[in-house]
Amino acid sequence: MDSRKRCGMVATAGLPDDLLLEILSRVPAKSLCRFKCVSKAWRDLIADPIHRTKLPQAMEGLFFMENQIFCAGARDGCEGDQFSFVDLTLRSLPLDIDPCFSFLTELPGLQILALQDSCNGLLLFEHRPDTLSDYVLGYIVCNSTTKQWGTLPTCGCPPPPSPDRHIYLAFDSAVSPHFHLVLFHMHWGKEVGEEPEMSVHAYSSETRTWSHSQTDWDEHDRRGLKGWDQECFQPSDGPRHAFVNGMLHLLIQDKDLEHQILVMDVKGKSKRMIAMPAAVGGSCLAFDFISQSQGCLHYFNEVFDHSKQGYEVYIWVLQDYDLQEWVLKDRVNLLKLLGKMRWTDRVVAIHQDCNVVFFVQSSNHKLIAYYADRKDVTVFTTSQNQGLDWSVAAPYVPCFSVPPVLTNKH
Amino acid sequence: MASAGSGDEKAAAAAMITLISSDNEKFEVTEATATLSQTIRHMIEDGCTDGGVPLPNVTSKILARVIEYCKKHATAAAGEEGSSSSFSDAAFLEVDRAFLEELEEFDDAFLEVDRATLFDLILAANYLDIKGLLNLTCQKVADSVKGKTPEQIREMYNIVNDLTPEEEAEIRRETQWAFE
Repeated sequence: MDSRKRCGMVATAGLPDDLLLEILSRVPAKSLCRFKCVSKAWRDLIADPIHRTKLPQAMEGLFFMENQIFCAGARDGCEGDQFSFVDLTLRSLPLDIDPCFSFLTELPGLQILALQDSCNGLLLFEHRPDTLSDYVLGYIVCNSTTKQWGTLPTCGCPPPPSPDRHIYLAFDSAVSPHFHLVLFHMHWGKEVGEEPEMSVHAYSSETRTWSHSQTDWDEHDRRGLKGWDQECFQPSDGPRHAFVNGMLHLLIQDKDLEHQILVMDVKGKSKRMIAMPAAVGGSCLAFDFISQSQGCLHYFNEVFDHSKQGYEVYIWVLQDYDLQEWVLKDRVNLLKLLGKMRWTDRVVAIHQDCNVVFFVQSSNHKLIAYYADRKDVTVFTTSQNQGLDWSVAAPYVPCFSVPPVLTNKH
Repeated sequence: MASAGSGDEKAAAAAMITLISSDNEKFEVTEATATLSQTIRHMIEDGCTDGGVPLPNVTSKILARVIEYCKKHATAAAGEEGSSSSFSDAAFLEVDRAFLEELEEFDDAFLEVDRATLFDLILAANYLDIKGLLNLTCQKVADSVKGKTPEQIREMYNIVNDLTPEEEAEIRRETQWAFE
């Protein structure tokens, strides 16, 4: 029945290809990349385009884009140079992606797109009528690998000004073909000093509906989650949220400037906190980030060490999620590493599959990858894009499965 | 009429199915246990289980293990149905939790087998279409290979490296980060 040349028990003694594939689909992307070196049969099985939807994919690049992207429908028209893409693979053939997102920006009806989030191969944009307005026409979710996209309605409530709303995308094709959006709206009262009201709205691409939970945040939560309404997503400041173990993790800061992680399910309902690793003595916290890498939650804090007069980055990992124990994975002296360090240099992303941290050095528009395992750096020049310093970075992980809601219609 | 209905249900619950391994050993199991296998479930639905179900791809040794798994998990499924009714007090949750822990322990002990048996279980789970068992056994193998080098994989599974040095160098060059 199977007319393919490579049929049956070639790859491993005893297991047919489809069962080896069952096993490999449960192996991390990094291991899969290595396993191509086992034999020809393994290489061909892993690299076969037919199996791409089934096997985990490794991160291949980083998109950089401006905060607001002008599309064909905008008054000023579509502009070039709003994007750049850094290919992290060292392949002889360029990746088959559209780094300019022309499949979106050239659509006649679209005006301004603002990147809000990216998660495991999908990107989420707010669609706005113009640069000045805070009004949201709708949301656009796209798959940059298959170039498919869909427009989603707003939650129906009038959106507050952009600093008071935050939206997150939750998607993992290995778990479900559907994605979720979780939207926070913060409403300030008229009285001075009055606590803001927060409402949480969640969208499911499966039911294609929004649900609202305003009343869930009772007084107990408010006290327990002091500061949860603080800004926890500033795309230009680096990654401050992560989707791990099917839960959203948001780095928040309470009014005493204590940092903690708010954990929330994709319905915007259950919530709890994860405490940060104990503070590093004698140092002053400059920036901190969280991100998902290799299936684990990672926390990075950049501190200014007065004794050494320089910045150090501490890399922590929540190795055992249930025990909630942070393990210090690495400690990097940026001054030693980069020669010089300016406050505008920033962490933009973490490699999803290995211990690599990406910095943007603003003085010379360079993207620098720090390889924690071998403790050295690689410089990716992206000098053609002067806007790198203030661009939003989104990791590119190929995604070959398409949520049914991405119908290319709006 | 009501009593006749419940009588039928009882009869159905007690219905036994005979499974016949490749080496002709017969195993009597309840329908609830047998229908964890989608393959057997379809056979029952089609009414072709009279006189036993021959399973020419599964040896008695493996079939005995598969039945052991199905018995345990069929009880679990029945327990879940029972507890998902209106009971939600702490005592019931406690029982549920204890049962889930026990099930997890069972699964861990169940997987303590040599590699050949594990592969045979995967083949049987696939042939009999038992999702839970296929997931459990594949995950076990996946956990044992992840993080390994290509050399270790070849050694584990007696695989001959038929890539040319150039081909191997090309793969290593493209995904150098994965080898660190």
